[in-house]
Amino acid sequence: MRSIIISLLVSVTVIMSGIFVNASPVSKKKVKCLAGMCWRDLDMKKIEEQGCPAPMIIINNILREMNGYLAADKFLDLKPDQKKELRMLRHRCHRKIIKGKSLLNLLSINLLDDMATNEFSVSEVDDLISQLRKACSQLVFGVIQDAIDARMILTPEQRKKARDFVEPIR
Amino acid sequence: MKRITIVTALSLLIAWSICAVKAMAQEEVNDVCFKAECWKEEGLTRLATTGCPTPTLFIKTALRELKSYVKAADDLGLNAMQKAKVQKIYDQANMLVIKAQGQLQSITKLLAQEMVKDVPNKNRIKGFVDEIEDVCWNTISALAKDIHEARSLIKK
Repeated sequence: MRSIIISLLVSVTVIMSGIFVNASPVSKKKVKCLAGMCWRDLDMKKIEEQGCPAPMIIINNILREMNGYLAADKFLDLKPDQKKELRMLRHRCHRKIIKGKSLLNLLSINLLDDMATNEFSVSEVDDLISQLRKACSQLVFGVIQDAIDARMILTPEQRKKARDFVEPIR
Repeated sequence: MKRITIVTALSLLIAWSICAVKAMAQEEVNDVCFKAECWKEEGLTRLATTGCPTPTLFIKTALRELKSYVKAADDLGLNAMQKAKVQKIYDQANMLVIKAQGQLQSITKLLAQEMVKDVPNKNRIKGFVDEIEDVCWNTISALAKDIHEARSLIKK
């Protein structure tokens, strides 16, 4: 009985100290992509396994960065105008992702359906592949542009503050 | 008490081994597919589970189909010349994918390096994105042609 109480007390102490040690102005999980920092540890293993960087690997990084600025608004001391611009940009980016992904999904289904016929037409398949290439390129570059634009809404001082904050927690 | 623990651990180990062997056998059965059957419902099934069919899906399925012809060459009644051709197509496809992986890794690293900068250069980024998409979709296009060629060999 005594040992149970002691281990319970030890666990509670460890958990509590963990909570207090981690206490910071913003959730570290939410802000670890600020100012492009999550590009530092892009999962190259995934690319190695999958052969092509799926658009979602890039899109996820972009969204994490854009969400990070708004999550850290107080810490970065964002002005109301900056927050408004960031929200508008994120909304535009979400629309782009939904539109781009829908197009990619439809084109992918068409391509796979073509391949699922025993005698598919090479020229038809090639045409779909070039449409996919274009759609993929537009989506990926489009969202990256939004992330860069979002970064530029911040002042150089705010960007530095974000970097300095994220650096030690990486 | 000690004996009970050992017996329980052993039983768990045996049960786990049986499950693992069964899973491997199942994987082996599912490993071979021919022509259209490799691709049927792949798109919608993947969409329902992952939300976005990636280029990987195409590459993996293409290699699986080509490998199936090599593995089942005797069962398909291929002659020596057809066997050699199918093997060559499969080897070339594999080489192509490996080469593309290397290229994609290095371009993606450059893209990531640019994105880490305080102010990334949009033109450079555009160039990297275009290069990535070119390598990726050119590989897919070449694989589609390989499959077309392999299927036409099987028909003969």
